[in-house]
Amino acid sequence: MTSDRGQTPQDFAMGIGIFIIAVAFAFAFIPTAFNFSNSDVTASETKLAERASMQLVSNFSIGERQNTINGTATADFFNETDTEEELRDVLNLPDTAQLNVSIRSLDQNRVVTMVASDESSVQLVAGDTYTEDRPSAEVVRVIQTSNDEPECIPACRLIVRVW
Amino acid sequence: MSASGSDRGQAFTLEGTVSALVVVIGVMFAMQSTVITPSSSGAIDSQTRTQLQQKANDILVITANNGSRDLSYYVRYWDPTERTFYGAIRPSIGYGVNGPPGDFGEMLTMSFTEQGRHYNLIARYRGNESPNDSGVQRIVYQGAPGKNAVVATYTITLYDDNTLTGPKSTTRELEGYDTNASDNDDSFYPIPDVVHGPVYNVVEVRLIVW
Repeated sequence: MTSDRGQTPQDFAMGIGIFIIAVAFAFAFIPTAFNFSNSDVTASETKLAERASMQLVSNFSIGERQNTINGTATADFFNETDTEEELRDVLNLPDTAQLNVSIRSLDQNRVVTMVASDESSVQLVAGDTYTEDRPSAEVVRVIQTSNDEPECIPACRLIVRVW
Repeated sequence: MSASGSDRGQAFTLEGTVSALVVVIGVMFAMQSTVITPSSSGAIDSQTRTQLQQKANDILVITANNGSRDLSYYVRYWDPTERTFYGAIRPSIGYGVNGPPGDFGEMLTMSFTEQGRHYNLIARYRGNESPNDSGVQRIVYQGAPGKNAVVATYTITLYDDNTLTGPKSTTRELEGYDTNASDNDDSFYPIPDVVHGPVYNVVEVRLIVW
C-alpha cells in the first residue's frame, strides 16, 4: 500500500498474458494431437458399407459358385439405377448416407465396362460422385463374373464406399 | 499486515511463466501418451485390416470354387522328385516372392504383392502320428508375418482317389506316395492318409497377409 511497492499492474498483465497464451495454445493443440485418421467415418457407415456390399454380392451371385456374379444382371442393375436415391432405396440405406458403388479391375483402378441385356455397354459405377481424398467407409470384395469378362480375369474388385 | 503487504515483491511475470510451463508440459505429456489411440496403432489401421482380410477370404473362396483349378488342385500340384510344389523355388519357402502359378497366383500378386503387401500361404494337415498332431507345408513363404497380419482360412478335403496334378503327374493315387521324407525314394508327398475310408486327409489352407 505504500510507495515502495513496484509496478504491479504491468507485471500482472505480463504474467497473465503469458499464461493465457499458453492455455490458448493448449486448447488449440489438444484436439489435433488426438488425431483419429478415420474420425469422419463412423461405425454405422462401416456397417452400411458392409451390408450394401454383402447385398450386392449375394443378389448378383450365381448359385453354384460363391463370389461369382452374373455379369449381364449386374450391368442391367448399373444401367437401370440412374439416381443415387434409387440406389439407396434398392440397398435399403438411409437417405442421409452418401454412397458410391463401382466394379474395378484388380490391378488398376480402371472402371470395368460390361454389356447389358439390351446390348449397351455400361460403365459399372453408380451413386454419388466420390473424390479420392474424401474419408469414407470402404468395403472391397473380390469377385468374378459369370461371362468371363476379359477385364475381370482373374478377378475384379467390387468397391462400396459410404460417407 | 500492512508491513508484509508493502514488502511483497513483484513475482507475477515469474508466476505466469511457471504456470505456462506447467500447461505446456501437461500438453507434451498428453501427446506422449497418445500412442495408444486406435488410429496410431501402426501402419495398418482397422479398416485396412478388415479390407485385407475380406480380400484374402474372397480370393480363397473364388479359388476353391474355380472348377478344376481349385484349392485342392494347388495343394496337389506337387513334384515328388523335387519334394516341393511344381515351379517352386525350394521346399522351405515354396514359391516365395513369385507366388503360386495360375489364376490363383495372379490374384494374389495383383491384390497383395503389387500393393506392397506380403503373404504366406500354408497348408496345414492332419498328421498320422496322433489325433492332435498336425503337419505344415509351406506353399508360399515370404517371411515372418508382421504384427498386423490378418489370416483367412479355407478347409479342403483330399480323397483317396485324388492324384497329383503337376505336369509330370500320373494316374497314381495319393495313397501310393511315401510320406517318409528321410528315405531317398522319389515318391514323396508330405500329406499322409489318416482315415480308413474314402477320405484321405483334410487340409486347412491358411493365407496370412501383412
